[in-house]
Amino acid sequence: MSLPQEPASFLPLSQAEFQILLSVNEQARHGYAIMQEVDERCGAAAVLGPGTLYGAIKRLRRAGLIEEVDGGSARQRPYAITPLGRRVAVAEAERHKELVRWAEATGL
Amino acid sequence: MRLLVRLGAAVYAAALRLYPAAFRREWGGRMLEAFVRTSVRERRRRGAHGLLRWWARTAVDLVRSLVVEWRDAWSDSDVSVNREEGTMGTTTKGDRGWGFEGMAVEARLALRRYARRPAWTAAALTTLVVGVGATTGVVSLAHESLVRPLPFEAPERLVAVTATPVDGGEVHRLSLNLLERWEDERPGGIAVAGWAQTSAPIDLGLGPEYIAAGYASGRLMELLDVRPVAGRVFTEADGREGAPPAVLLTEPLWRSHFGGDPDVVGRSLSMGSREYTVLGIVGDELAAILPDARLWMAASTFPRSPYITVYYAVGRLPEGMSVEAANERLAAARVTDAAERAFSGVAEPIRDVLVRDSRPVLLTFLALVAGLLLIGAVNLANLLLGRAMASEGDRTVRVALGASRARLVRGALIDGVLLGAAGGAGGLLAGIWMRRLVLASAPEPIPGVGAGGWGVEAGVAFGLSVALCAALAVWTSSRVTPRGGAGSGAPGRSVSASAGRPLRRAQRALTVAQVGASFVLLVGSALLVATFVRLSSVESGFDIRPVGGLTLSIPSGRYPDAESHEAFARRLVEELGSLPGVERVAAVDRAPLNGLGRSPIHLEGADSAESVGMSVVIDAQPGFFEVMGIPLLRGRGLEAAGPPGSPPVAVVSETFARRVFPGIDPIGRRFRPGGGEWRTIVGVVGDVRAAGPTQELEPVFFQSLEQTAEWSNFVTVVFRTPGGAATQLPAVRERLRALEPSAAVLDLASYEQWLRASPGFAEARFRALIVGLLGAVALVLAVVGVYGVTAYAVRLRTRELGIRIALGSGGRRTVSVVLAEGVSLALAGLALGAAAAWVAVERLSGFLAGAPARDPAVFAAVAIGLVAVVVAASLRPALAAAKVAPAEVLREG
Repeated sequence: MSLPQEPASFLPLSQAEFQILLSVNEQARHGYAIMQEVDERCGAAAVLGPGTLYGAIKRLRRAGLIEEVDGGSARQRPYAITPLGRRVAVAEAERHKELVRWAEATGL
Repeated sequence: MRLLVRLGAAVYAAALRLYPAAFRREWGGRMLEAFVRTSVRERRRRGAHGLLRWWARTAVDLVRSLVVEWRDAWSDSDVSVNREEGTMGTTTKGDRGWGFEGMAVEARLALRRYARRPAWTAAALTTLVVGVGATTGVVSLAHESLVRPLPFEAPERLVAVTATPVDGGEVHRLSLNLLERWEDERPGGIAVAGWAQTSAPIDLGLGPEYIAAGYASGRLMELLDVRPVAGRVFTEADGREGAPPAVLLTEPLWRSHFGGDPDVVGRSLSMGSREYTVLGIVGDELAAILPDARLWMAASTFPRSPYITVYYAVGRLPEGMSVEAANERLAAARVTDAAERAFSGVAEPIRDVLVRDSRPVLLTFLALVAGLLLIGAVNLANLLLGRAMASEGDRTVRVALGASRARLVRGALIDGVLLGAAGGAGGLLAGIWMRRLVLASAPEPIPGVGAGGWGVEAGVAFGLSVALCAALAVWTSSRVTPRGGAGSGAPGRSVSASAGRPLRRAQRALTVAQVGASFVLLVGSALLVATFVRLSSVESGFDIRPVGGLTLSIPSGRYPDAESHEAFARRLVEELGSLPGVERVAAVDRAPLNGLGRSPIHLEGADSAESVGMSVVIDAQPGFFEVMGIPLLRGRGLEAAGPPGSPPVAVVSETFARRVFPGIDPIGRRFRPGGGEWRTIVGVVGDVRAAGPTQELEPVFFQSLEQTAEWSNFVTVVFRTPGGAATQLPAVRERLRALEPSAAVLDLASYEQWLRASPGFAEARFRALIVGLLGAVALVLAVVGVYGVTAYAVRLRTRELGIRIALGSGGRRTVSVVLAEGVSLALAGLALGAAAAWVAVERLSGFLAGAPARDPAVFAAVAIGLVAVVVAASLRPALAAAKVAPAEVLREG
């Protein structure tokens, strides 16, 4: 896991992982704040439950896509996106765009 | 409600233990915090509903992330984990006592067991969801209506007061005149106030329309301690005769039609011919005494006549006074009204009076639901027993490899808790749905039931489900005693027939109980559904689909006299008649199937002073029969009547003719309604069920409005639109508004809509719907139970059946042996159920519109149906038994 990573090797991200990256890309947020933000942004369609949320945070952190930063309490430390995380998010967004283009090309 | 959040937190904290320990240690605290904070937020935003939705989502999230995290944990770990469920996995990884990890492994095993038997799991969950859901829904309604304290200050001191005339006359409600004297005198030191039901013509945007409302005496709000949401409530002075007209809006009306605008307070509101000042907004507490009232008017405008007796009285006892003591004082009291009549009082706990009508229905539902829960519990026990027997071999192996008895129990416990939690959560949602269904289809609001909190019921349902499952799982598991070491059966194979015998006896006894309980429920629902079908197929006496009716009132003072009211009615008939699609219109003094006036009938002859019976009287314009589609059987219709003052004529219904003139041609005969002139019968028409679809046929006579000229400010017109009346209603309303904007609509509906909403019909539909639903569920549960038991019996007897077949027993014979098993269970259950039902159905007799409760035909039909269903349920296992290949069976042995 410590080798330099190609963003593409992380793809595709799960929906929860992508949502979290988008959320912390905007600003550093702690877990519950991410949950709230995603809920408000997407409504019922993309609700993150606690299990899914923290499971995904765990994996994203382990993979070095997000990192804990200073601020907040010891328990609610905010997470920020890492440069690698940003690249992965861009690649995932690109993948989605590709999909949309393909969908349009097939007449959707 | 904070209790609910805490309860949820406790359950979630317990559920966190299902995650891998490392994950839980690092993230569990944050997850719990996020869960609780979201619970609080959802609760604040969307109430109990939002909270439950969040729980449901979290449950899904829990299951999903459990799978992910365990997979993650295993792929991370160097220890290779045996992914197949089995003894090795348990002894190596799982042997960590009662610690979290051991529990988690046990839970994982349980989840896998459920996943591996989707059909079994679906049956168990369905049973739980249905049983818990029905119980929660009905119990919450019953609790709210029958048990929960009324939403008033010190409700235990509130009593309903009825006035008894000292001269021994009939007990009526109170006149406002008497009520006010009572309020002033406070006999026995008991404070009294009162209310009456009414309707108020208010313009909510579609022209004036009558909505349900209440009259409150001046002291009512103070006595009940009703606090305003905005503005103020009535005071004693507002209720006094001559005080300026005043109203209070209820919060729902205020929000729905005044946009929740606080400036409404102090504004004036025009209703009928009066202007009312809006004094304030009140919450929904008052729904506890008058469920559907949407606004409250001060009694200041209500007539003080001692003969208008429509007020209910409520009293507040002084602290420490019992109802008995209050009754002693009230019995001695004397309050005299303006007619010099003296009254004493009787007090009853107010709830007893408020729920008098809904209590028997709710109690019946409660009894039925208890039966359903029993069936569900039996079913669950049966399913668990079956599974325990099937896994007997596995357990034997686990014991042989050193698993302690405590470990087996722990496994069963976790197994049961998981199942119970899932079933409980589903049951809660089903309960909410059930409750909504009941409230939506109830013919009228159930007193005391509002939007309602869930609090206790939710906890009870969840706890009930978990406790039930855990207890049953442990019980069934302890019933299966591993015996004789590993030698008695290879793992995964069915055990010998003798090992399962005591369990099978228990299972069969449970099935008999289940069939019996289902029989009782099914008889109950069959009776109620049959009643409903009978009521809905009753002919109203005319083809209702194209017929619509409009009833309205003109504010008094708008027109000076009867002539101008007549002119208005004629203009209205003409206007509606010119609507495209409307074929014919007629005015009538009251809508048939609705309001009624009856009169005693006298015949010419020696005993003409003596009445020969009662008849409904309807005054209608000629053309009424054509509009309604009532056939003219003999003679002429109402057009035979002359102008006012000409010799009076009448048209009578068939039943009138048959009862009053049996065997005689009534045409040309004369009769006289009580106190009226002699009328000559000119025609006979078909019967009309004038009092409503659920009522008996009764005599009706019609007279021409052109002759009686009984026009007033209340006008009813009926119209015939061959395309269906419902589609014409907006156009009718528009024409009326153009013609007379001040006219207030009392009722505008097609007869079809009206019939569906009529009290007897709607109530029968309501009961049939709920009980039919419960019956259907009971039937499904019974089928699942019987199928499970028979199928399992076949599995246990495979060897025996194989030997039978090897010895020359044919396939047909094998089928019948197995079928006999199912049928014998069914017959035993039927005998039990029939005896129980015979006693139980007596309670339903009040709901059957006169049909006998102990109807042998219904009993027989249900019995035959149930036996057929049981045979069908055991047919599949029986056919499977006939295909047993003897050689294979014997080799396995």
